[in-house]
Amino acid sequence: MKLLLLAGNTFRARCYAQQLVRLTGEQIEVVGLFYGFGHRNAPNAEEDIQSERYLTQQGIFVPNLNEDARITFSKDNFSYSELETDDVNDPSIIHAIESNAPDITIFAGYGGQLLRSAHFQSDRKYLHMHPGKIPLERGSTTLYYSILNERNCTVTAFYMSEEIDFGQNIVYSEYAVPVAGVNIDVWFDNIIRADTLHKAILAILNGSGLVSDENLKSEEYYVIHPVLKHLALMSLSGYQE
Amino acid sequence: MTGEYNYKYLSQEAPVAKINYSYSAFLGNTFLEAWEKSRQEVLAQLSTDQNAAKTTSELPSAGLFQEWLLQLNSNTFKQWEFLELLLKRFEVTKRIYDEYDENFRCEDKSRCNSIFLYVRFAELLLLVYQNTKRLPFLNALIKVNDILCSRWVDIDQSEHVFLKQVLQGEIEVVRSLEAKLKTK
Repeated sequence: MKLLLLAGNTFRARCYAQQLVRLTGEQIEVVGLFYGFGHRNAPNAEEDIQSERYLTQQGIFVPNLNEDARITFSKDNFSYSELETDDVNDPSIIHAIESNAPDITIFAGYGGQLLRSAHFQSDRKYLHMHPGKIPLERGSTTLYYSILNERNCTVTAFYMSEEIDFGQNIVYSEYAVPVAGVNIDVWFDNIIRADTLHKAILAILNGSGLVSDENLKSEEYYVIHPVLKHLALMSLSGYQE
Repeated sequence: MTGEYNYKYLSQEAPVAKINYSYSAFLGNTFLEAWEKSRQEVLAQLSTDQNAAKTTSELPSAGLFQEWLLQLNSNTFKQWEFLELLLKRFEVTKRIYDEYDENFRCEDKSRCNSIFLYVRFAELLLLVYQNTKRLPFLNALIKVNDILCSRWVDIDQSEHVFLKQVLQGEIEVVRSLEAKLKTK
């Protein structure tokens, strides 16, 4: 099975790249298509021992957030190509995906970028890891809403369609709500999504993918107001003012 | 943290200029106190006249919102798909328009300054959240109230009692949610 990592220069892309490297030995070929690296400032994560320790204690692999995905790929002799554009819908990207002819494209674009219809003209599969249980937790900043709704944090791996947060679900992966002090936006979000990517690929290889819960209602969430974000963070176990 | 934090999610340019809620910093209880203070400061200046009446208006949105409020209050409301679509439009544009087409797209982008419509919309959001506890409605309510607290001087005195209800209602439901989360 050929996997293509379509990625911008983001923490999530780095996490995905390091998880894909861990899949070496499975029946997969991994290639990279990295775009916009020259246009966007490389993100830099400060050391966060508390977040790292928490995730490790949960048995979750913690990637190096500051390792460029190109370096990850080079170290393991995964081939990759780069495109200058930072627009995921640029024709050069569509063309490059077609040329690579992957079985699955794993999407790790820049924040807010949506794949337009040109990506869905053929029957290509785009795998996305959404930090919410689809369709119950669609939309934005959903981890915080999970906390406010007193639910575990779930990542859904699914094949994308033109409709946002809707497609064929592959895996639901549940994670305990983190304790106070764990960085949710940079560490927890990206690392559990990458962990789910790992599980999703294994499920696909084993032929055990496609999950759905037809009893789930659909709810769409929008960028969380800071008041509600504060309520969520202040409700975490161990929080002290 | 030392010093007083000023709640920064108010803007006299709203709703024409959007208030940006992305990537907010965490400031603990200082932030929540500043948020509540922003509401109390407006509440303290509102008229206490209880004989107010809702704005009479021919604007299509006014009629629609009032009809929905009546239906919600009488438990006969069925247009959830349209209310959710309006919610989505508001979250994207941060505006309430005088008139919408059948897909809740605005007929005229310049017509978003009828501030009393934001009071009506806040009433809808508060009522729905109180009845359903669906968080997207609470999220939008707080954002609408940011606009109302930014532009309250442009609200006719006849509407003050209703503005007071949505601001006090917001404080009550947010603090209630806070208390519920602390007991888990």
